[in-house]
Amino acid sequence: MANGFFTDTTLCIGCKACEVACKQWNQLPADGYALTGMSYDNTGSLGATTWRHVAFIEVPESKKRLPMASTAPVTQPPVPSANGDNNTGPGALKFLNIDGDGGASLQIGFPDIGQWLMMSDVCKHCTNAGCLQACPTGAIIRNEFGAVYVQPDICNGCGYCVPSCPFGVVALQHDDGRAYKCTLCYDRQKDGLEPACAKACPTDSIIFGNLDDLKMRARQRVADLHSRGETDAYLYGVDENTEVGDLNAFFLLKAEPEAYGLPQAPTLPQNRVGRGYLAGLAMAAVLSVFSAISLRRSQH
Amino acid sequence: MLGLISSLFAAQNGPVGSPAVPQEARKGRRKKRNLSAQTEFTSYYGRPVVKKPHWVWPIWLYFWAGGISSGASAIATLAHFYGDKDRDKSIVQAGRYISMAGVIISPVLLIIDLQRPERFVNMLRVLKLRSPLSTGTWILTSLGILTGLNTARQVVEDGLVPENTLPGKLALLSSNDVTQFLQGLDGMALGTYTGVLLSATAVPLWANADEAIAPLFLSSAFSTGAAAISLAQAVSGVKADDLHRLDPVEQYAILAELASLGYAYFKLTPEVRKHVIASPFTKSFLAAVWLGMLGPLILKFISPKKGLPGRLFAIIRSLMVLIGGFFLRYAVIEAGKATADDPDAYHSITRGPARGTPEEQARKYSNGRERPFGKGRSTPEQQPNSFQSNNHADGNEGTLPQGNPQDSQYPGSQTR
Repeated sequence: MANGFFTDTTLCIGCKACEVACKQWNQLPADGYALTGMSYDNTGSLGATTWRHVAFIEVPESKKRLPMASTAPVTQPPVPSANGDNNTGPGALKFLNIDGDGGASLQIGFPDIGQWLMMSDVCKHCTNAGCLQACPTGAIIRNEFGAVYVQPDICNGCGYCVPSCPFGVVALQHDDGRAYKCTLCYDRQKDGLEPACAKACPTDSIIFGNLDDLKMRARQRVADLHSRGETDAYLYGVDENTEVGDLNAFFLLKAEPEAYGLPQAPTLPQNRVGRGYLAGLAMAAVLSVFSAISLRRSQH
Repeated sequence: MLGLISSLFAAQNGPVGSPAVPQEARKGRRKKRNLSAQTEFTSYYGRPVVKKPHWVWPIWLYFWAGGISSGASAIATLAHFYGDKDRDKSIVQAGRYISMAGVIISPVLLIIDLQRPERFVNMLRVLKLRSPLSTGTWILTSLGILTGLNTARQVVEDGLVPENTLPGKLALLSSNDVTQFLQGLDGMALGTYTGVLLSATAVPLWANADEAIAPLFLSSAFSTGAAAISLAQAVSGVKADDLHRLDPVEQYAILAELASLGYAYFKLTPEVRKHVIASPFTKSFLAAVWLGMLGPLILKFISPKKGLPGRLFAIIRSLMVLIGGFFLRYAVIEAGKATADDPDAYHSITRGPARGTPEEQARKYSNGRERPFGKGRSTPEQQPNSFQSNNHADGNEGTLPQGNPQDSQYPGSQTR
């Protein structure tokens, strides 16, 4: 029996309760007050002390793919603009006039944010996990709940799992030296509780449960969204043909994976091991034969 | 003021990809990529998708020293079995000592690189053939033992330890042609696995160059190993007649390096290749090619063969190959780390038909479910009573759909 997450990004409101609940339950240190300056996302990325990360993607009005856009025109409320006309074309700025004293006025332009896409990212607990296969100490295991788990008492901080993750999840904690990532709340699951992030999610965007149930539920959700005209909804991490296999934490997305910082078709690094050794073997054979011949020929 | 502000925002009105990239550059790149018409985003604000390894100088030095050790082991073994028993004695001798020095330094560098060095022994808990780092640990361990045995024999043969003492007898007893043969095999495995170690990651440069890196590192191991042996021969006063016997080996290895590098170069996607030909590490790649490969090849043809000039040129050539070999390891590791920070590079190597077009998605999930809400219930098309149709049909903004959300007409009720 394997458990996992289904993260339905259409329900995410970007409250970051999952990030907070994760930090609190797992007693992860703060990451400081670094502002990214790009969006409401000041977490930046998953890391050794950030096991949930909410991504914020601003879709401009002009780029928005509203399901009904082809049949009904999108109407916008009139916005006061500098020269009096309503600036409602696609990609246009919206202007706000602020009148000050003495006739001076300030005009502020806003980018046309048409839609927010938010997604709570997490370790995917892949079926074919790159980090697990790369770990040279056997510290990374698959536990009884089907999660990929780093045993902190064995990890020696070689750091090879870090570049081996096709999603850039696992990371070294530098003051501790070991690799950390989401444990799928191993401790909570042992006590029959759902992971802290799923528990805290106020909109049930993050659902925890048995994978078979979650997949059925997710397919149903996509079908429903499609029948309602939301034809860009799709599942990322199940029913796909990728080398990492099904993801135990999978997602319902509404834009191309790159927008969320996810690879379109992730590859399993270890699938390149055999080819690498074969190529090396071929080169070893060629060099050995040529070297042996040259050493033999120069004898007399 | 208005113009300033609007131009400020106009720059942000493009795709929400990496905002720092100028609009023109982005357009040019997107054309090449043949993306579907619906693609609007190139990355998540230009942030890295995969994480780079923490490797710095211990790993640069390890790949270099390990490579020399690997090549010296292999060449000493080849000289032992195929070389002239008398004239190539110095090759075997130097090869064994150099290899020994390498396998003593390498584990030290690797343990320094561990973030928890006191737990290095955990590496010996398991053997995982699909983890090149695990395999490499065992290759290095066994090479250390084999090289130790053969070097002990060399020490006795050189008369540093008398043959008739207990250590001398033990050394001669515990090493033979079999251990020398195994050392050669193991040495070549060491040179190969370092390349596989890199290609079996998600780092774009290494993953994309794939099967080219292992041959590249192995041939570089041969050339630097041969150079190290030649250097030792030249400075230790080996007869001038026996001095240049490894030159062909070195040249074959350099040609193999160039071939591997060329193959890798043409295999890279444009986004990844950019980090090789136009990046802060381009100079290091050029240093690797000119100092380590082309320079010594050219110098070989113009250098004098005999006497002291010949010896000096041999020393210069060997040093060039050794320094070039270090630059190669440095450039491959550091440029690889730079590609890991570049989402465009990573996305360029992970494109593939994983999930099909939106239309195919729709077909996949609505197969046989044209009426997803069960018997007697209507689809939103038949009953335009949802958020969307309300908004657009009569312009009545913000009106909630009539009726109880639990009602079957509310399409979301089935899933939530």
